[in-house]
Amino acid sequence: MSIIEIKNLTKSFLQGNNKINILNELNLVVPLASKIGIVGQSGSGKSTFLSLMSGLDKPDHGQILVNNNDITKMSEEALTEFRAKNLSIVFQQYHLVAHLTALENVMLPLEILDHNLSKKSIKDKAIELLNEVGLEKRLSHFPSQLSGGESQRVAIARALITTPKVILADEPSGNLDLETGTRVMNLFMTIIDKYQITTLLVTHNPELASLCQSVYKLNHGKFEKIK
Amino acid sequence: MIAHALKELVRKWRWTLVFVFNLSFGFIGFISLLSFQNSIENKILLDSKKILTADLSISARKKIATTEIDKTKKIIRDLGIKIESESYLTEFMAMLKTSEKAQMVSVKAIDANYPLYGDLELLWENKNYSDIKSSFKNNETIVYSELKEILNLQKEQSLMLGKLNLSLRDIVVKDSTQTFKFGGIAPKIFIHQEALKNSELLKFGSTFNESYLFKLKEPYPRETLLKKLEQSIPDATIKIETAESAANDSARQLGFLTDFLKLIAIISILLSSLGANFLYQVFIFKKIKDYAIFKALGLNKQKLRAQYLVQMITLSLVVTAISALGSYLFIPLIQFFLNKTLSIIFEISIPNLVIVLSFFIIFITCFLVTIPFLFSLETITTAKLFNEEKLNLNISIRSRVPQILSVFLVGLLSLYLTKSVNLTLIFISSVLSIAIFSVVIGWSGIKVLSLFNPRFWVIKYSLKSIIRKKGTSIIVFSCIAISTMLMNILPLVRTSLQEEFNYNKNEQIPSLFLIDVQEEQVNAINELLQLQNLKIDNLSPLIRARISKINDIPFEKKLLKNSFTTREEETEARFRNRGINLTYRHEFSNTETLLEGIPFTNYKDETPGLSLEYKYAERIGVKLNDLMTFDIQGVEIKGKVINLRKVRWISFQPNFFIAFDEGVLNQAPKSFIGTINNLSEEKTKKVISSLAENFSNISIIDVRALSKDILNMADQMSLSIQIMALLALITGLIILSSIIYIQLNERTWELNFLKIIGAKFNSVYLYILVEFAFLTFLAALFGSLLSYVFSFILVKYLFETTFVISFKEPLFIIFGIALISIVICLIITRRILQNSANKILKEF
Ligand SMILES: Nc1ncnc2c1ncn2[C@@H]1O[C@H](COP(=O)(O)OP(=O)(O)OP(=O)(O)O)[C@@H](O)[C@H]1O
Ligand SMILES: [Mg+2]
Repeated sequence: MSIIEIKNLTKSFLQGNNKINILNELNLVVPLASKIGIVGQSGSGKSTFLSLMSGLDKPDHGQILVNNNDITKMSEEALTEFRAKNLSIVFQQYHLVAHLTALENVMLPLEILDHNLSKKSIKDKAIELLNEVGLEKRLSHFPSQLSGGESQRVAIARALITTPKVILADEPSGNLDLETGTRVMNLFMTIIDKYQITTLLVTHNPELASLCQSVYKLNHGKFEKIK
Repeated sequence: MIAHALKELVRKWRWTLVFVFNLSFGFIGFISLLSFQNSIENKILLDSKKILTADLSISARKKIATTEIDKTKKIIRDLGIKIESESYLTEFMAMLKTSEKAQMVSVKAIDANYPLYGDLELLWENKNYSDIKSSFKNNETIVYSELKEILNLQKEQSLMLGKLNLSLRDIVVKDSTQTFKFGGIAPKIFIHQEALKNSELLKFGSTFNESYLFKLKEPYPRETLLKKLEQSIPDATIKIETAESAANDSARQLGFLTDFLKLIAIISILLSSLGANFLYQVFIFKKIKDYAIFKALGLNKQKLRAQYLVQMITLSLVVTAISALGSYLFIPLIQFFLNKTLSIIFEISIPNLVIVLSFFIIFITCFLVTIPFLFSLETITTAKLFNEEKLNLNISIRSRVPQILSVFLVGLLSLYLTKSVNLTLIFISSVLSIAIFSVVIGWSGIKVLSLFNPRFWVIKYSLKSIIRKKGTSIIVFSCIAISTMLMNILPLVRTSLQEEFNYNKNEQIPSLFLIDVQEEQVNAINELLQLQNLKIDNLSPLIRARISKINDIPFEKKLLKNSFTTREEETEARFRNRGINLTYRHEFSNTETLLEGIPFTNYKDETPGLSLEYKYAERIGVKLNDLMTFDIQGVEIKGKVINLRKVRWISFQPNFFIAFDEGVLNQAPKSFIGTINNLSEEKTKKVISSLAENFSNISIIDVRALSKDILNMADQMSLSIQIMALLALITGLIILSSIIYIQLNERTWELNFLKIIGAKFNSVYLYILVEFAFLTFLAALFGSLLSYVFSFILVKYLFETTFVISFKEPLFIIFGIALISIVICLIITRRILQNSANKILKEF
């Protein structure tokens, strides 16, 4: 069963007077609870693809069906609600809120979501996730007091707290040293396996890509399946 | 390097625009207000010159030795002042007779140059005296209009003044020298000096007053001249008067207004500097990363400074250009508006000095508001600069020195403009203490907020944002509080000041002043007036006296101080040693209000009670409970000051600086003065002739033209105050909006991020509204509270009038500010939410 279906997705940018097609009539089907690796040269359009997937940007044309809903047709407001309920993003640059502590950063998405959870259970869940990523001693640190790897782990915990159906991760290990990167990513993989979350993972790291069920290479605006 | 510095300003055009407009608005306000104030001051000065008909007058009740006049001229010339023209004047009392009647008149024997300023408006020829001057013959006379009714005068009628035969040339309907001062005034007539020479009017022993008038080339050092003259002419019987010292009460009252305008002018640049300081902080935060890169690439301090200098000079020049342009466009606009609304036209022009001063201040301001950031940027380490998350530009105390310095500069400016130490001290200390106070309040407010722990995430994170970004929150809070306070002061002070210029349209406005009414005539006059349904109003006894002692110490002409640098000293000197008119009454008239002490009705002591006009008391240095001794025709009478009162100057009624309680003075030699109010042209004539017929000793002064003039002026001032307060208000709102706008723009990333992680739009709106509306509303509220305190101090101790509390304007301002902040919040948030999330994420 597929959760995501992408049909003829096309995105171009104007560079000066030239129109450059970054994504060109791209098609992809993502099965439920699968891990998809996306690789490609720098500038090939991987981040662009993820931003379309998350509704942060609009394509020129084409469809992105998530659970049979076309997100490219949604208004900004509807998209926001859709994101809250269905997907989380792990950014290359962490994007933590500077004036909130690690714990608050993690709690935030769940608090924003409409729910009947008590404050305490949200907090417990955040602490549990931070425990899982090994940050139980960093709960009340501010982002400025965390190292790069720690920040990335907070970002991962934050992406997981709403137990989304889909996680979009853009080079989550890109800023980390090899060892930390591997450790963080192993952790990430373990958790998404545990919660059975569909994942699209952009990476330059072949080893990481190999952990995915299938791997696509983005080349001239199209996906080539390499695994 | 220059190219890069300029490029940066262009790239950040949005910021540059806000910065430039913010400062420009402040300075347009500054320039316009000072120009306006300058034109009012010029008008006052010109009016004063018209009253004296000269810049300088040397007069005495005796023949002035020619040596004294030569001395005077030498002093004037030694100071490098050019005498443009001079005039000689003799004044004395005489009987003017027709074949049927006679009337005591005050004769002014004038020469060919009279008047050096001002003019006489004539009835029959419908011209000014100066237009007919060349054809005014030696045997001709022109007389005040009262005399026309009193003596039943016709054109070219022949009149006798003593043995001098005169032909009536014309009637004076308006004399620029006329003021509301009274006491021994008789209707005036003008004759030629030449005619006087041949007459035997001034015989040995007759009293007269001789004046030498000078018109001097502006500008000249007024104070120095007066001081020099007073030093070298020690003879106390010679009166040295300048236009300023001759100015009437209304002119002195207008001093209020010009003080007020200067104050607003300073406030408008203070406000915009505050805004500029805030804006620059935003600019530099955005710049930090660039600087880090430049620094890593080897940009040294000198180059950084050069870049900064280029930017600041460019910005100052642009601000200067826009301010000048704006003022040149704006001032004709006010002018147009004023001329449309008011009957009296007065010219507003921008004095060159103001432009030069503003340019100078713009440059200083640009540097002062920005340089602390440059210092801290220089001292911060590159590694720290690179760490985006750890960004926390600490503005050290040392780098705040320029801003502390700027407070002193503002002080100097205020001292320079207002020439008042009190005003400056109050102003500076209030601004400083309010700044400190609002920081303390902001800080404690945050402490209080952190005690709350709301359940709803929107409120929770809104409060967290305020609390965690303590520095910014306090700065925003203080900025808004101070701007609100400054904005609020103006309408509050205005309400109180305007009371001074307001009059009720139905109020009793005097048409005629009756002077020298004898006690036994009062009833007869009233009976006569009764026939025409009129009566004497404001009838008051008038007793000529001289202050001989204060607290039993002789009151003599105080030797003038070495300098009159401040107005406080100036006014004090001005009021020394004058013959004074006393009155007595048991109760206040309806134009008087008790300021200090107790009313006569509650006073039971032995020593007779005295009531003094509060400003007069201040000028002669008399306080409550002081003892004053008066010399009334050789008899000494002592009284105790038991209250100070305020007199509404616009009431034009016989007002007295000093009033005794009923009792001691009842038997003193006295006459009465009174008014007849609200007369029509026709009735005026009738009343004058019937009074003149029956009571030939009474002087009747027609003050209708004068009251009309002053009421016009009051209208004009009242409107001007409103316009100026409005101008300052608009400036304040614009600057405030730009602060809020820029501050909100800073939150773009955060709002966008909330949207990315799925916050509902309404929640995002609420999130920012709670934070901002809350902050601005509280700050505005706090600022308004402060403004009441500050306005009260200003009105009470500086403008020395009663504080009229008003809630309308402050409420309007608080809600205006809150509304503006809400609208800006909604607009910007909407823009952020509707925008592509990805784009914002990349940009910020
Ligand atoms: N807003 C934009 N305007 C114009 N061109 C853009 C814009 N955003 C991205 N591009 C271009 O699209 C191309 C793809 O960018 P994208 O960020 O998707 O690459 P990427 O595959 O993520 O590269 P990397 O591996 O370096 O992160 C780049 O050539 C980039 O220059
Ligand atoms: Mg990328």
